[in-house]
Amino acid sequence: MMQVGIAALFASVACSQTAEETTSLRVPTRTRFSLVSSVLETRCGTLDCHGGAERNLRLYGVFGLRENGLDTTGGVDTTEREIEANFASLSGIEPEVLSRVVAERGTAPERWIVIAKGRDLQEHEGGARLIQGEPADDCVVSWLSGEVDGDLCIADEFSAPRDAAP
Amino acid sequence: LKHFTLCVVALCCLIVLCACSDPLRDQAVEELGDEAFGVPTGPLHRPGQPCGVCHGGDGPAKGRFSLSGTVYPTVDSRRGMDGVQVILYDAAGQEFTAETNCAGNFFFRHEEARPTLPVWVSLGFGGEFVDMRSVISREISCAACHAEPAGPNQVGRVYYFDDEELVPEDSTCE
Repeated sequence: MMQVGIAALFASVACSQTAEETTSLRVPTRTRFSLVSSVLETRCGTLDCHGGAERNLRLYGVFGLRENGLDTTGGVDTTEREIEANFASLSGIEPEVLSRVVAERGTAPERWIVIAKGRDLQEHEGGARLIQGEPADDCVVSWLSGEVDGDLCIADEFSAPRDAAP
Repeated sequence: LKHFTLCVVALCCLIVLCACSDPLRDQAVEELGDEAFGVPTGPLHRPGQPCGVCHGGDGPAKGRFSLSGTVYPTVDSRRGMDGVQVILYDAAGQEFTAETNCAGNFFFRHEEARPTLPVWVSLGFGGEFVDMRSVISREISCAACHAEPAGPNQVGRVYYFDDEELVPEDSTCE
């Protein structure tokens, strides 16, 4: 009798369905994201950093990993599919925090780990790749605030500080 | 008791030895294979291989490099290119220069050059300069990314000329 009871208990547990709670999260705008992607590909998406397959934040593009497995690093320009993949990749990093930042129109963006690490506010092997007040950082923050400032993104120049060389 | 003490000491030594070895690095060193026949260990050896595996500071080589690699005359050349200036511009505004030897190898010794990453690279030859399109963010072996063949996660070798006919005759080791 007891065995039958245990079997019935197992069966009922196996068959029971619990209604899972769902949460809606916000993601930044996809409009003009290609300009943001371009900034991040250059600064973060090289093969030896986030352009590598082993990174949690993976960025595809001409300077790093190629999304279709056919194109060559350094070959054809970043494709639309790669930009889409970068959007998905970024949206998947700390989505709850990202959602809050987006909902609050980009306020205190350093709450999101991508900004915190990019500004080197959190331990980051690559150091500061986004400097507050510079076009690259402002470009990414504008994306989080709901409207990409294309002029800032285009104004970003990530080039050698040769003039400062001794 | 003496036997037990010896066992404990041996066990401690084993643990210390294991703690000091990096199996991934050891495997990477192993995968480099033997030296090429007739090429002694030194500046001309192992062109095209990721130097930092051994010269990265925790590898088996004596000399430590902060950045190193090999430059070829063309994408299809079998031998490296001599006399190419490799100029690094680092994030701190410093500039460092090295020159390739006749095997095409160049290296920046850690005690002489410690660039702040990221680093921009320019190659110079005969007064003409070619800039690398992207930055080096953290890798100290050029060959780690510039491995062959070029593909979806590697760039292919570093080369200077697009046209074989432009390559000087004396640009490689005899």
